[in-house]
Amino acid sequence: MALVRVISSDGAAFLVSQRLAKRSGKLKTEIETFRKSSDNSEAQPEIRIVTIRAEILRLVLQWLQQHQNDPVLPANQNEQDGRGDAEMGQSQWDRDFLAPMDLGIVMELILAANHLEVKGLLDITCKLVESKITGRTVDEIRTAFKLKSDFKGNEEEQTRLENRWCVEN
Amino acid sequence: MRKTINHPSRRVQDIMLPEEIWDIIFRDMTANDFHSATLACPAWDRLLCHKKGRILFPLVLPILVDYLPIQTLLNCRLVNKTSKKLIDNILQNCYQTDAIIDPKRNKRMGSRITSIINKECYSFYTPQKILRFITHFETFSFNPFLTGSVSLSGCVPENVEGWEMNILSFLAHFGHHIKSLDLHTNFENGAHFLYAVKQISFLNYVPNLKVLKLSGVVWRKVEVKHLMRLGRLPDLKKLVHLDVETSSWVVLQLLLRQCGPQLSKFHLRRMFPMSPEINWKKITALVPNVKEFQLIYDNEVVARSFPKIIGECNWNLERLVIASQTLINITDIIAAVNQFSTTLVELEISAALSLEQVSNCYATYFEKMEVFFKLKILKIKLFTGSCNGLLNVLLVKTPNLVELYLLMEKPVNIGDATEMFQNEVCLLPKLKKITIQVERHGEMPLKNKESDTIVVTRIV
Repeated sequence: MALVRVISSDGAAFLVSQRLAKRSGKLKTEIETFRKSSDNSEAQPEIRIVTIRAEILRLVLQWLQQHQNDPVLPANQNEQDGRGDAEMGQSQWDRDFLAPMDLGIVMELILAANHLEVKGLLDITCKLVESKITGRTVDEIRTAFKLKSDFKGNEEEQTRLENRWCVEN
Repeated sequence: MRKTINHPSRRVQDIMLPEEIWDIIFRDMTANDFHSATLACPAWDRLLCHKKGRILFPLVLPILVDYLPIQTLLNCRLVNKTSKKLIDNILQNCYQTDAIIDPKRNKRMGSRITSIINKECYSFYTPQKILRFITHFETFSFNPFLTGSVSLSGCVPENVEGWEMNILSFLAHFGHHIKSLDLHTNFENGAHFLYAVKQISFLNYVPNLKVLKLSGVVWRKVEVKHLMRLGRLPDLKKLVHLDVETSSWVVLQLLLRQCGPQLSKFHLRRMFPMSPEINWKKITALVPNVKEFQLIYDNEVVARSFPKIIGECNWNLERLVIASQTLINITDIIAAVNQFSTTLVELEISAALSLEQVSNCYATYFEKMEVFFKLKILKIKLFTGSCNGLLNVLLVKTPNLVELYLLMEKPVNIGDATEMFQNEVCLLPKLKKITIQVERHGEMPLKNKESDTIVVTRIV
């Protein structure tokens, strides 16, 4: 079985099958680039992902392993309506997978899934964060993400006015 | 002599600082810097763990836009200045990106929401809506257009003076915020004298305009004369995209003389009976730097003249769209398109074929193509029957094709077509997706009635 070595930003190496790695758009491109530039067709590709740390990379690979037999979703799936199809594709395993994670880890997973072009994982993580925003008041969103308002003077009022025009029309 | 003391070297992660000091250090960092800091050092990652939600929010929000309902997205604009700026940028950049082809997913984000907001909020098709908008925002001087895009209709009411005052007041207040303007004349209520000239004069109030769409204006001789007396059109220094539907060659010429050299996108749509006067050589010479050209027509004169003339221009086109609602000779079109074989990245041909051509299969036409090395997206809507052998031809003619879109006519066996393409999709090394739309013959290609769509993707 052909393998590829994927190395995280903090130097942890993960040895995975190329078949599995190719389910990530980014890793697939990297493997193909390596193949073209390498004289030795048997050589094992080594890919360094400098924007993802080991803990997050492990989670991405774990998710890919679980979903290795799913059909690959193109990056522009649902382009027409723009929405992910997370609800359709989310399994009990996915829910159990995400349940223990705190918000910071989920957000890191979103960045990692986006960078590695793993559409299915991106959909379910985004849907999870979306559920923490939709239906909440502005103050509740600020509390959930520990954000502070930095609007000055009547800036917030102006923004409300713009929003109100959009909602009423 | 000074004596140096060698301390044992200390690693940065061993330095213990109170949390409030770290707060000061990380306070002014951008989200990207913060993310890099957590990646650089596990100790910092642990230290900043509980702040991740706050600091990663600006990085995640642009990705989330695809998944958020409009109301939620608008709420996020109220969270803080960074969120507001991010969302506004996404909404405004959807229609105004300078990139011709957007291969990155990020560039598509927000386009759905932008379309809805534009359609619902900034379409001023009635005088009442303009007045209501002015009343809603008149005490504020900030930019009220989330998307920067405005549709203004020339549906002139009975009280012309009052209506014109409203439009001018609207443009004087907010015109400098408009980046994209769609000026459309609706003739349902009857056009008024010199309205077309007045419409052009509105452009004086939109100095920051990047995208201009002009449609529906029928220029009468008296109005053309009046415009020519003005001599010069408003100066739109930032205009890069002109989308025009006009009945007057003189007006088109005036527009292109004014801003032709700065245009990167040029769309000509559905020209009225003025077409016999069209001088393609002059048109192409007036827009020398265009990268994207769209020609949508329903006029046989244009259909006949286009293939002969277009080949003579020196454009470095990256995107070309030809949509004809009259019968065309596809062989002539392919011969004209061959002029752009070294630069074209996206090509779309949508047309009705004459009866003797319909019997041919797609492959026959594309055998006459040059090799298009840069072509990534090919959309063909020709209502022709068979696609047998098409991918074998495209393998030679478009070796780097990523996406193929085909329109086929009913009755076609959807199951057979799907199976054929699933077997052949791997022929082209970079082809990721084939979309086949099946429609009844006789319906125009741009309509979407009773169509079946099949998407074949490459299986890894």
